[in-house]
Amino acid sequence: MGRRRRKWQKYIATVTLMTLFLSFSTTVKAESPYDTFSVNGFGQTIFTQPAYEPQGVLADDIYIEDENGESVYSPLNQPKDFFVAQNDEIYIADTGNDRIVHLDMNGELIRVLNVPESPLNKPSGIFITENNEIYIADTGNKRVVLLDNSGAMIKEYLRPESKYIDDSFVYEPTNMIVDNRGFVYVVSRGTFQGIIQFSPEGAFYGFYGTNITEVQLMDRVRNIFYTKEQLARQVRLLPNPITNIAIDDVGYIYTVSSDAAEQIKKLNIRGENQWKDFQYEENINLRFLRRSTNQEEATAGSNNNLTDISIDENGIVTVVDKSSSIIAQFDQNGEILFYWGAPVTSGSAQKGVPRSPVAVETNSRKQILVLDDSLNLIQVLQPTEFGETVQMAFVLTEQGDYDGSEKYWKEVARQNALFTPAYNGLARSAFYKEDYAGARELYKRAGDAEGYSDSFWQIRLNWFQSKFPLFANAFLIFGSIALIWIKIQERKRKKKGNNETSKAKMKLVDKPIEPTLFAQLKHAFYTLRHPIDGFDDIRFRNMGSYLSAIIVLVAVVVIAFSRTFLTSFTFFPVPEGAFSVGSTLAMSVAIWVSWVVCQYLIGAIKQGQARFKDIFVGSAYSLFPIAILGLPLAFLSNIMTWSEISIYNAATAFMTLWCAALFFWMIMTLQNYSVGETIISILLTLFSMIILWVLIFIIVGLTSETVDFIITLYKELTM
Amino acid sequence: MKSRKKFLVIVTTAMLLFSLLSITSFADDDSTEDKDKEEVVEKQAVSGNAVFPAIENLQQVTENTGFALKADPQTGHFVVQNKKTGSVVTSFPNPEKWDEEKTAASWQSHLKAPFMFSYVEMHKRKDQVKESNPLNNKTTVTFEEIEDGYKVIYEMPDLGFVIPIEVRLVEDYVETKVLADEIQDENKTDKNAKKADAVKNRLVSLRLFPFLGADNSDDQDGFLFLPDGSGALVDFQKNRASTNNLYSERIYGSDQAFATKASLSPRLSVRMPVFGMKSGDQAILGVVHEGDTYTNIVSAPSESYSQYNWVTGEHLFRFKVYQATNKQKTEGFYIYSEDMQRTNRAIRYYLLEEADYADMAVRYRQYLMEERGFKRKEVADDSLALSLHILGGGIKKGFLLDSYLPFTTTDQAIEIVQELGSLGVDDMSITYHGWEKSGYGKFGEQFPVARKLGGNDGMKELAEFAHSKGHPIYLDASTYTYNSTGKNGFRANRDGLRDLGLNVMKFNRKENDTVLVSPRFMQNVIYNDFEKAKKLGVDGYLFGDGIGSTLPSDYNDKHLAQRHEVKEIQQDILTTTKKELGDVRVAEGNFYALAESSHIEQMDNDYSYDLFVDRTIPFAQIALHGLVSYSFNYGNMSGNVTESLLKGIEYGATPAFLVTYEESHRLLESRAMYRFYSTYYKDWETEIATQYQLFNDALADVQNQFIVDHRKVSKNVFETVYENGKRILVNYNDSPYTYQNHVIEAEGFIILEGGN
Repeated sequence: MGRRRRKWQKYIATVTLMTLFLSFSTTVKAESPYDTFSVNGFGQTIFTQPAYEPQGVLADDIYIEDENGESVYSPLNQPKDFFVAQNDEIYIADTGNDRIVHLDMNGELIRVLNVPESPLNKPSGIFITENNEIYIADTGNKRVVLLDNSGAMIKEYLRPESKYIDDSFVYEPTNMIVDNRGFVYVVSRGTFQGIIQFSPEGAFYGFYGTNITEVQLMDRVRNIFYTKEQLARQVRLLPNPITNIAIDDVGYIYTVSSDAAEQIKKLNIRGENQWKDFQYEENINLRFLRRSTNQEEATAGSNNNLTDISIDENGIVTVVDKSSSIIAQFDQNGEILFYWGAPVTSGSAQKGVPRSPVAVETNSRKQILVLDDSLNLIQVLQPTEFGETVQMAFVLTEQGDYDGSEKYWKEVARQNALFTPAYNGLARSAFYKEDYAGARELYKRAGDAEGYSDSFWQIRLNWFQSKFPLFANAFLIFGSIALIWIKIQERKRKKKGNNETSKAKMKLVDKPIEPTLFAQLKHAFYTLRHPIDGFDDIRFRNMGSYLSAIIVLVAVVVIAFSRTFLTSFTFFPVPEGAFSVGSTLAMSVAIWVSWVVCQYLIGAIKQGQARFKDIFVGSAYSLFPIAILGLPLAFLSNIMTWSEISIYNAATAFMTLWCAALFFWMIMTLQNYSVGETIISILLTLFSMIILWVLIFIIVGLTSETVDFIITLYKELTM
Repeated sequence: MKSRKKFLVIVTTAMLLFSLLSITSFADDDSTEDKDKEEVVEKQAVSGNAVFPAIENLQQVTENTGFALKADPQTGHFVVQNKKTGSVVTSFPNPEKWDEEKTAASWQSHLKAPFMFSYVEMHKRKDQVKESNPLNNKTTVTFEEIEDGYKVIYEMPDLGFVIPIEVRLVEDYVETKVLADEIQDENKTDKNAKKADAVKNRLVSLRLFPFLGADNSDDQDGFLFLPDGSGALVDFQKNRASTNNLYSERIYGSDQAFATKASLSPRLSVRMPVFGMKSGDQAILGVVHEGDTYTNIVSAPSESYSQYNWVTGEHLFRFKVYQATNKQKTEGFYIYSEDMQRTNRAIRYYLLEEADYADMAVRYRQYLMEERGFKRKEVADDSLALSLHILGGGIKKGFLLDSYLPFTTTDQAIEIVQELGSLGVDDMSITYHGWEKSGYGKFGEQFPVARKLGGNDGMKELAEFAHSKGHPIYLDASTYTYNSTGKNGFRANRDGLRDLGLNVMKFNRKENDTVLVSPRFMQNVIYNDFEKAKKLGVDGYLFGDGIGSTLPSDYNDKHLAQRHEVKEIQQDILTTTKKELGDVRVAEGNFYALAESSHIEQMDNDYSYDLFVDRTIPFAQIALHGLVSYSFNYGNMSGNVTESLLKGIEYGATPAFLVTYEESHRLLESRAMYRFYSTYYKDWETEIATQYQLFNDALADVQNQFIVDHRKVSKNVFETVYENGKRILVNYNDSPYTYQNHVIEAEGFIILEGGN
């Protein structure tokens, strides 16, 4: 729903937050070492209170007994994965130490698992079933091991045998999950085929959740032009491998990968992605994490490195990103709740700020646990009151309990008025309660054009219904009056005959050579209806002057901007204050002026007959439809809803086409061209406009470079 | 052909390998040579039978009733003996715990040396510092007794350094001093020598007796105290998950004039120039007495660089400057400043017996009163004053022009105050933000008060109304730090703050560049505006940012002011404001700015979340309670309202709230307001009233009482004890806690009156 809105609004979003770090006075302090952000309904990144706060660390003081019975400090060594079991106990795959560490819910050591009968080698994944069976991805030994609760080995899942698996297939399990039917889904390092699915008996069942191959533009070009042999020699395009996997209570399977398109997938049992149009990077803007005063932009692009994903009992999804050390939370539908992180520094580690997060888990106390393979410990994050309220609100809304969620949304809105999802939630509950006017206002605040339109539809319907008798009567009365009036007019016309029209025409011809300004402006209307004659009159009968052209232009500009201002929120969902006139105006004027100049110059070369003044006036008059139709369209938008958008779009298109046609006839008439010549002339004009702008940019660029060079030289010399 | 190619490849690879090998072997040689040297040096330095000077062999320099100072003329090390208990504090790490095996060779000599220093070899690389100490160089030591102590001059002819220091024993503290005025390095020694390869070493920083009292973690009893946030403790702990732990922060935060391109520290600014250590029964409180503006607090727990826990003050003499060579400041190079910062440097080590962190803070309070002019707060009434902040108006980006967007007019402010009064908040202080003509988010034009808020007349009425209720009213004046409009007679190129490369310090924003104003220029503007402020009848200003909170140097030729001078300018602004308007307050104030201030807003009550920090303590609050009142972050901006409330009660704070008359979602219309999440007063008035009652009941009668003790009772349960015997116990757990037959509710607190 919000997807499409966000895309076209990208240009206004995201420009602004940087300045906020720099506006100091009356700063508000965080209660955490990181900044927490969210995304509002307009696609803008906003600050929020911390949703989670650092609670402490676990697994940083593990003492085991050595052979002599003495207690020795035995820290974790590059652990790659951990799992929080149903009872909140923690199992860590301590990869570097070839062991599994079992802690209780408070981080006290319960036991260490080594599987002495078949020692582990770099175990990097772990999963505990509801029956407390332990699955271990024993990466170094290229197998998955199943242990019973006491740590004795039950079964091994070795390299799958199947005709679908060729010799080049590498089987290095890094993690796995088990669904409630007993199927085992194994993630193997670098396997592009997807997840390896084993049946409960341990037989190979198939591949699951394969990513789609990313095809770039160059690849497509190659596909068209290359021969078969050449294509065969190309490096084969393979889908990105899946990096990690998780399963929620309902049985949906979530995968993460460092793919540009499908970073996070929510798969159902058939392997269909439920988060089809989910875009990780669209939500998460990392620019705000850089806090230095004057730092270059880091290289952009898809450099995310999602390492793990976890789903809590409410369906809230938490992911960790290793490359930027951020943690992000989404609801069941992939709508972002929060993301937070701190600028990556080389200094000493901070609580709550992971250095190199490799795995994330949530426990029944709503805490987030993050395993860090460079700090060798688990960071614990605790939701704040605010974070918890937001989650509750989202969960209740998901369940359709709009009434119940209202209380939470109200609290969220009270604590953070900028968190627009709250207004969305409140709007939904207002809509549910049939308070459509309230819902419309709230939807507007939330930046939800569709919701706004829906509530307006309801309001309009109610209005019509309540006023129906009035309308019906009014229609009858006005209809009959109109009919009578038409009849009378017809009778009158028959009497008077055609004399008058010819008189009017005579008058037009007799007009003085210098028409008044009023006549010139009136001519703009005439041109609308009779473009060819109209432009001819501009050329030969002085029916336009610079003054009239400028007046028309000003009218066009004023109406165009009033239109953006007056158009309904449904069709122009931009937050207040986000749209500024200055740059748009400057741009349009520059384009228009360059068009006039270039058209005149091209005309001069191509035997055109128009004077500069003609082109100037003609080009101004050609924009007149905007002045005529702009306001009615804006008015129309205010009584229309989303469902009538096609009518609105058609009207807008009509206006644009009319302008374009006028421009065309203008050139043809003024320059005295044929149709073909006109087309060529327009194309040449557009081309020369591009050249003109390129030249201007080059000159400006070179000048500033020169200035810069002189400054640099001066600075280096004077030092 | 093919075979020949192969042959060639093999030969080249072989050659490459060989050359690599030879390089590495050379490198090996180098390092062994180094080691040899070090060993030789060590032998010279040790010369006795032990690593450290034996305490019995030291020469007594001076003594007073409590302590005796003994020194070692060979090295300059000293020992202070407590005459009553016989315990000693050494200027070197605890010799009994010396363990050569656990320490890297370079650190072994650092640990033994009387000081460490870093310098840059200008004839080699201009942007890299080397760390060294007198034991690694040929050093002659001249020892001389002076009044109350002794003076040592370290001469290192190879480097061209002469470094004089002094140590004095006065009452209960030892003062160590670096005589920066008399330090010699390349500037002086190389004047005559014109050789091309002359050794040009510049001293960058110096840590004097860095391991004073340092101890290792075997006894597990002790802590390091860091001035991070409200105060942070690093317990002596044998094993830590991370071994890369270093705390190094500039006192009063980083200098903005040197911050170009450098990323800012993620830690909170150090507001108080103190540090400390407790090891066993003996505790040391270090106070940077002179040269605080050029000192770093540096500390590392055991197992990070050596086996010792240590904390010290590092004196800075030269600073790394980024010299941009193009306009965008994207290209450039680093260089160390030429001139040396020659203000005196003195650190006092207060020697405390049987002391915990609370006692350290108590001693620091005594220092503040004796040396820094702090006085006990006089309290007129017996109720606590809520700190109410009102947000006036901001700038809305308009369709054509930016317009002023009022959030709370002065009339509406009166309404808010009345309404809070009717809810039982009858004592408060009011601070108006965003009252300036230019509006919140734009800087440079303060007076007259924005017309849409009610103008000067409206503000006068508000002040009269407030006074009739007995509430003082303050104006936020931290905005004098910046200028974005060129008003107030400000011209960025003439009056902007400049760094050492003479770049004007500004924040590149698309619409309007916000420039930091030169402190001297700012001072004049503020003084010129006093008359206008007086006419409004307000009681004072609330400063912050560039006045009392951040401390930059200014290299603008017209307003030149070094960092310590800027500190004096800021202090002068505060004193003059107090004289002219009657009162002054500071937000996020550094300790040098607090003596004049009647209240601190936005005080840190948190820490920087360093992984190696084990406990946070209200050190600053213990030191200040009874001298200056303070409040923390606005109660309505927190993610955890209850927890913030409890912390306020535990730390003895005054509640603070920021409100507007308009509904909070209107804030969306002004970008500069995005940091305020929720300000609508109707949303918060009941919360304000309840919180105010809780605070008032708990803290009203101890407003001018000192905190004498603070301790952890149990997990997440803390006790604060006041002079008059009042005790407040706060329980952060989500289950009740029973303390001596008193049940403390979950997330609640109890008050035990004196003797109870």
